[in-house]
Parts: sequence; C-alpha cells; structure tokens
Amino acid sequence: MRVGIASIGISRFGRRNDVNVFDLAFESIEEVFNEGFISPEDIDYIVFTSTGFTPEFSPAGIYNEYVGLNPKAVHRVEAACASGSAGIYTAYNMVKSGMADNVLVLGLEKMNELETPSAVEYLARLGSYFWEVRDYGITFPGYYALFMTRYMYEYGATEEDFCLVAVKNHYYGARNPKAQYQREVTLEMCMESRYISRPIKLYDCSPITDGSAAIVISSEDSIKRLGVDTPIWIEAIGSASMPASLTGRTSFTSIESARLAAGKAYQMAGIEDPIGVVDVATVHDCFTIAEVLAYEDLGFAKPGEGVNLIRDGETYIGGKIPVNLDGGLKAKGHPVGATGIAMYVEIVKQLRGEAERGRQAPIKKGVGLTHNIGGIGQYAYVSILRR
Amino acid sequence: MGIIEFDEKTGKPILIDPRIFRVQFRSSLGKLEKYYRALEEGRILGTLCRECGYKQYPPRSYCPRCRSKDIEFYELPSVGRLLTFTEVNVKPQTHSQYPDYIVGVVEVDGVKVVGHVKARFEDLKPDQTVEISVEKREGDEFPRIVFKPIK
Repeated sequence: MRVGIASIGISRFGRRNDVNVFDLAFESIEEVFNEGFISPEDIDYIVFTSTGFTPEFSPAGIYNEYVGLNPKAVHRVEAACASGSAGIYTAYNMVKSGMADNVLVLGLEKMNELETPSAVEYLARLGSYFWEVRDYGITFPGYYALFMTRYMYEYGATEEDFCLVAVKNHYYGARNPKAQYQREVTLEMCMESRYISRPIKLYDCSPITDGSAAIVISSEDSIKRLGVDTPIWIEAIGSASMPASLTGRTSFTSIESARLAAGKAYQMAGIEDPIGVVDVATVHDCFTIAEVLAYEDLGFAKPGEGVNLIRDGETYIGGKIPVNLDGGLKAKGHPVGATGIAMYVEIVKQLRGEAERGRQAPIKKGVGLTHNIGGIGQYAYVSILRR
Repeated sequence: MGIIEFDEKTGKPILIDPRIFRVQFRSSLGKLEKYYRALEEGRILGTLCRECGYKQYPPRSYCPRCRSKDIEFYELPSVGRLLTFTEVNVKPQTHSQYPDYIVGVVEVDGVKVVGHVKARFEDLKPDQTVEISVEKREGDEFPRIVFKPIK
C-alpha cells in the first residue's frame, strides 16, 4: 500500500517577531486544515520536529496543546537540520506499518528568540562539541567553509562560482511570497559581502529564520476516503549517517552519507539517472558550497563538475534540473527543525502545479526530490515524491 | 514578566527574559584523563589497538574496528599535512572574546587532528606541511593544538 501526502501548510519565513512562537506554529496548522481534506479528528498522531531554540526543553506537548490537537499523542524527533525529514521518516513508517492512517508532522524553529551570538553557539553545538567547538570555536559556516576551501583547491572553483548559487536562489526567493528574502541579489553584492567564516561570505549563508511547516502523511486508503484531489506519493526515502566529527571524515569534497541516501532512494524508486527523470529538486543549501556538493552527491553532476551546473545555469527552470525554486534555505530561509518539511511542502506544490508564477517548474514525469542534511552529514535523507 | 523592548530590525515588541539560565557542564573523563594530562605537558596522544593495530584520534577506550579494549596511548608525530582550513570571523558566544582564528584539519600518521592554524589566511594552501604543537593562547589557562606551516 502506498503512503502519500494528504495536506500541506507553511508559515511565512523571516524575522517573525510580529507573532509569538505558538502562533508561528499555528500558521502552518491552519493552512493544513484549510486545504479542506482533513480535520483534526482524522489525525492519529503528531510528530513534532525542532532542534530547540525555545525556553522549554520538551516543547512538543506544549505546542500540541496550543494548536488544539489534544488528546492525540505527540513526540519530538530531532536530527539537527534534517529533523524535518527524520520526522517524515518516522511518520511514513507509522503509516506504512498500519499503526496510523494520518500522521501530522509539524516542524518549527524560532531562531530569533535568541540573540545572534547565542544562536551561533546553539547551531555550533549541533556539531561535535567536545573536540571541535569547545577548544577550537568552529561554527556551522566554519564546518562548510572547510569543504569550500578544499573544493576550490581540488577543482579550481572560485568564490564567484559559489555566489552564482546565491544569485539563483535569491532570484527564485523573490518570486516566493513565503520567503524570508523576496529580493534578487547580484554577483557583486555577494562578492562584496563580509566574510563569516572565510572563504564563506554573508551572502553564501542561509539566514537565521523563524518559520514553521506542516504536512499530513496518510495511507492510500485514507487519501481516497478523504477525497484528496491531487495526492502526491512518497515513493522512496533513502537515509544514511556518517561521522559527525571532522577527524572521522575521509573527504572534504563530498557528503558521503548524502551519496548513500541518494543511492538508496534511487534504487527504491527505480531511478537510474535523475537527469531527465526528476522534474524539480530541493537541496540542502545551508551554504552555497552545500548546494554544489548536493549536485554531485545526488548524481546531477560528476565529482568536481557540480560547479559547472551553476555556471551554465542548468539548475534554473529550463535547465537540465531545476533546483530550489522556492529560494532554497539561502533565500526562503532555514528554520532548522522545519526545513525538511518545508522542502516537502515545496515539492508537493510544484508537483500539484501550485507554485507561484515565475517559479513553477514544468512537470513532465511527475517526479520531485528532496535532499535534507543534518550537521555535516551525520544525518542524511533523500526523498523521491511522485504525482 | 520581563522588560518589553522593540526589535532593532522590525520594531515589533519583544519580552526580554530577566532570568538568565547559566549552564556549565562537568564532563567525566574516564580513561581520557591521560590524554588531557599529556596535553598539559605539550604532548598529543592517540590510541592504538594492541589486537588489530588500528590507530585513532581523538583517543577512545575501545577499538571501533575489532571492539577490543586492549588499547594503548601513543604520541602523535609532530609533522602533518594541512587538509583544509577556514578563518572564523563570526564567532560563537563562548569564543567571542578572541580575535579571528583559523581552524584547520591536519592529517598525520593516518589520523586527522583539529586545531588552530598560526598563519595568515592568505599564506595558506591545502596539502602544505605543518608542524603540530601544543600551546596556550594569550589569556587562556588551557592548552590547545596549533599548526604552523613549515616553510
């Protein structure tokens, strides 16, 4: 029996101190139920995904109460920036096993509840604290900057090349009314921005974001019973891990767990070559280097050639494989615990043909992909969705 | 209750919590005591499995390859290869008192070590040879691993 998506919801992303954290969660829940296919009574279980950033250490129960879903059971799933996909993986298995018909996955992060130095510290501590953060003060931009330095050295890529990713993702963010940055940027603006962790510059980074996203994972029977007009099916979820520490890594030009997760997902979905099959993809561009690594780890390009895809514009609409048409983490924003769900929401919109003008991919094969990485690959998920 | 302020960017009202929650971890060292004692004396120790010969850094009390607990500490050689590096410009709260610092990953004797690189960013290149040592940063009481390029 297939497992699919009955309903989606997403908040506006940004520096959202126009609402409190509870209402930020409710924005997604409201959209889920306003789609009209599902009611709170239909939900069997809630999976809450967040890395924290809240004064409460066990937020799931508190948010579940606020959004009105008692007495349905809830728990939190955490996998750093891949928490959303980990939550979807959990929900998928609940439905696939027959334990539940409809599981709501709610992702939330309100990162601006902390001032910036605390937020940078909080994010850094999603990495390997004892050996890397405590004595050496590495940050998340720092982790990815280590990849960028090595990638530039091995393959002759330049800082300009990576800024091209920022230019593309802001181009699409400007067309997404839910995005944090709804404005285009130029190559010059990116190149002139200050270093955050050299060679990573401000415009290479995803921002600190407040946002929520929600999705209902349902059985095929339930989707038919609810009368969902355009169901999107989860055809595959590939997952893998690798050492979180820098000392345990064998490569600084690839996230090997992403490569493994992609291989599993393609095998489950019967895809040999994603080019020409995948109509649209969302990849984990927490930094511009991460998008280029994703091109290679997902097999969109050979090792060292990912940078050519962005140089040649092949990941825009009309290119070989359009990537991050919602603006990506870079421009849409990256509320870490909600990101994996926001990626699913985007692919569902794309496959339904509901994306806004100027950012809707042509849907030929009806296949979409999400690539969601936690840390520097200690958590990796690649999903294939099909209309 | 707390103090109502207005966000510097959006001008929206925010409540500043007057109660600051201070967290300090107390980490049990177990067998790693030896590692930290050596580091204080300027030596960097890895672990070697007596059963299968597998070398590890950071040190561990068991061998992840053969699960043996027959482990001995050994001192890492002092010359390695700089794999990659970054200059941290925006720092986490607990490191905000320091000037910009360069974090590097060095390969030495089949293991990898994380430390600070003492050089100008512009003068560094991956794969260059570095000397590995231990020193205290000005104003700090605790030792850290540093890499210095060998000309």
